[in-house]
Amino acid sequence: MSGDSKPVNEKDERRQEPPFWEKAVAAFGLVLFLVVLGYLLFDAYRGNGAPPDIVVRVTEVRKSGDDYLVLFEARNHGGQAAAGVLIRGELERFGVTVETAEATLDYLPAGSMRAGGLFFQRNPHELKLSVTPSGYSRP
Amino acid sequence: MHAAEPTNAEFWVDFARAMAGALIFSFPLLMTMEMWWLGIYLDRFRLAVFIAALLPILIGLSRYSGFRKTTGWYDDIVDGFVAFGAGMITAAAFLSVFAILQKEMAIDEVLGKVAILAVPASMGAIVASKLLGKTENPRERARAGYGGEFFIMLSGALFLAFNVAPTEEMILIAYKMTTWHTLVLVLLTLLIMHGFVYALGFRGEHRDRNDPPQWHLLLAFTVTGYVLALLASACVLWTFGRFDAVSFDNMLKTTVVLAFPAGFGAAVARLVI
Repeated sequence: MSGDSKPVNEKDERRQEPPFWEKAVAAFGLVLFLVVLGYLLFDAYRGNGAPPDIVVRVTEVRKSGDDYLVLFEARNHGGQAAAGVLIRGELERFGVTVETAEATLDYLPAGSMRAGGLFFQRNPHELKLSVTPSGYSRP
Repeated sequence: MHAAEPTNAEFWVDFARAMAGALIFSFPLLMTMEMWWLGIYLDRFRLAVFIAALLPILIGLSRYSGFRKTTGWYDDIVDGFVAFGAGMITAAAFLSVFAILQKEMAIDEVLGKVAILAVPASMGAIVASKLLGKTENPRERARAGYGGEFFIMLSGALFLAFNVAPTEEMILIAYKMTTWHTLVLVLLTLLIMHGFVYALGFRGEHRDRNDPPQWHLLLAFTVTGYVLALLASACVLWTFGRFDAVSFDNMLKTTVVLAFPAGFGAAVARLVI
């Protein structure tokens, strides 16, 4: 028994006891399993099936070659994922649209953020810029 | 004295084998964009059902195969969770390296992607020993009676159905096929499954001791195997939302299309595991 915690003469009993690290990794797996299952069920129970609620924020406007690049971030605050999200940017002067640009985000999952950019020939700093989502499809 | 006793060092070797198996079985899906998308939009309740059903499959596979010799149900349950952990780690690690997981993503998205890809990865982890050339354990395989054989078939069918179901092509093929095409495919699948297991006489083929007549084997294994393949296909298609808002005719055709690879999985699993 010296230094060995397990009985030496009981072969079967000894074989059935997994080593410490095996039990530790299994416990880790069990916790992961419960967390994943619990979260998914919680998510399903919460039933957040609200349609996509997409908010677009302009993060930067910079010169890009001869054009101007408007960088944006779109975040989906709704409960459903959106596919093929069309982001539309408009430049207005005195209430009249003078230039438009579009970008498509393949997927915008619920709660997640995706970034993109729009190119304009006119300087967005000198005009009224608006960047808004204009459509999506349900995946 | 230490030779008979499973040590921590031996466990890490087994675990490395499980991780390798997880990667081999899951890398094609880890690198398939439809899988990432499924992780985003899959119905959460269905995904939860699928993950919950995965664990008994892992434990059962550990009983009949496993990355390590097991001595009892307790051992198999422990190994089932080890395999799930290995699958989750593999999926999370490689999705991160491939930049599919990023910090601005919601927990919902990250968890969905990792969980769906942990399914093939953890199945790979649990059957790693057979693939990676560890000595066979005939005792474990001998445990499989008829029930065990069917379980192994179902697991194989589920795995292959899961592998091909994400692609758009399954739906497209079902759209294009007429009823006659579908009937031919059913017969072909049955024929191939039967040929795989019996006519070719692969190693690992298990005949009954008293060798019952062929028609009995055909009924017991090929037809049951095909029914299991249909079941596995329908199950995967439902989970992936492929049955939502489609006609019954189309559901049936898509199931038959997917049962073709699933039938292979069922037939081959009996030889591999």
